Amino acid sequence: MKPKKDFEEHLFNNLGTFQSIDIEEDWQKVRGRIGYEKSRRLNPARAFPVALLRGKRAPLKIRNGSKIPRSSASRIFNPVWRTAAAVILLLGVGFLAQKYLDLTPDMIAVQSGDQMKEVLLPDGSSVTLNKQTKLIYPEKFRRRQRELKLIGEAFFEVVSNPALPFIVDVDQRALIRVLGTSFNISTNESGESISVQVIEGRVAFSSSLDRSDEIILVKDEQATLTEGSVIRDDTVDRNFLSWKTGKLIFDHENIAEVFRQLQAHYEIEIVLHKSVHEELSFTSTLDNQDMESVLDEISMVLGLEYSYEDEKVIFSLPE
Amino acid sequence: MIKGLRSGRESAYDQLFKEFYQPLSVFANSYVHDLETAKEIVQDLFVHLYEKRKTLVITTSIKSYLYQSVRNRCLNQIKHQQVQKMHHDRMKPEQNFSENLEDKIRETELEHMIFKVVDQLPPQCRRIFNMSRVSGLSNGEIAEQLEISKRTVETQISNALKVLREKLDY
Repeated sequence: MKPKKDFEEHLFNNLGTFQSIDIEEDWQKVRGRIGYEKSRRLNPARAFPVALLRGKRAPLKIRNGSKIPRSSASRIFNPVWRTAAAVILLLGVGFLAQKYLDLTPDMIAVQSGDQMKEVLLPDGSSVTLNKQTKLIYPEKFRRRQRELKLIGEAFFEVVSNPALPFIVDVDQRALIRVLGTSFNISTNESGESISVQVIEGRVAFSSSLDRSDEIILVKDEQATLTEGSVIRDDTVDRNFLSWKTGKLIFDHENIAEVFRQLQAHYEIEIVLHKSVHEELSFTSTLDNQDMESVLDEISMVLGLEYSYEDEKVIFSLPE
Repeated sequence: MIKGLRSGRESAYDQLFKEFYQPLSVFANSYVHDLETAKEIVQDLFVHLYEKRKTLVITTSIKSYLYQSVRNRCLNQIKHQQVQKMHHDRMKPEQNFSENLEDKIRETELEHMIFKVVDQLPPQCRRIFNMSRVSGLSNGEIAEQLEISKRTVETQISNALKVLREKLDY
């Protein structure tokens, strides 16, 4: 910052306020309260959620248990792999589309249940299926191209082979063709739209019905297919890989959006009591934290209390 | 510092309070427009922080964590008061909360630094500067009250501003 002609006068507006705040005096108040609160804290409230939390936490353990080992995650980001592999995340919904998927005799269908699942493809590429996802691929890829079908959500590490295009058909609605090295694809939870996020390399994205509206995406670009047409997005959703990495990043994010993402991540409904200001915001990087510590952090930052009610977490103003 | 906090070391907590209490209170005051309420909000936050120190995982900087917490608590307070329809005259419900938080934090920090530098000025210089900038007296009025020349007042104020500029690299 270069020196300016003079201080802007408004910077002195709070000088008197600063001077009137007695740190020592108020520190004594806070200290006193801590001592007081501490002894009061040996109360039954401490015991309340334990049983409940256990129940809530159980599914999280499953989630953790099924997580991809770290070595696998770091392998993806290893430069050698980067050049050799394309990373694709696919998310399609539409159980309706299932009936359209024709299974020719040499096709293999893999269905993940309540746990993620890793699948090794005939060409050496690997696919991580999110829960409740179905992948259909040939026992042996054809000579001209590698074709797969997906219902659900998955993360692909594709062995690059320019002579053999890698094409993913999502719900017979979107086609994703790997042109370069690595990228990602995802959808919104209602299943109305399918998005592609490119990490690096080049990807062609089009609707299944109309290949003419194909969009080529490069690094840090995203496009979304809605109602049959593909449109380039201005921003990239930074948490699109959170289901796999366990990492959620929020930067002054509105609380409703934070809850929406946490709900999907922890599979529990989180609501804000109607008495709470809806413009609260949250900033944090949550890295594979258990739900309780996340809820604690939020309650701290928001100055709210949370409780469990009817399988829901409710954030409300303290008494 | 967060480690120190977690283990409950009072010095770490003490340090945190002393470093942030004033700027956070001023910051809170800019939302709730009542210094007592503002200070209570910040004190509550520190009590809460201490209580939760063992389970809390802070992944952002402690500073942005604290400011964000204070902002949210202020909004809660405003909402609460709106509901209760108390102190309605003091509140500004039409206030815009989509302000740029980063800018606001930076400004509060700058004001805090100004306060700290002014606090370190020689007594006479500080007194004159405060009369001018805090009490809003004219140089003439200050000269009259302190029974010194107007020129001395001007020199002292310009000295104070010079020190501020040097210390803050402004």
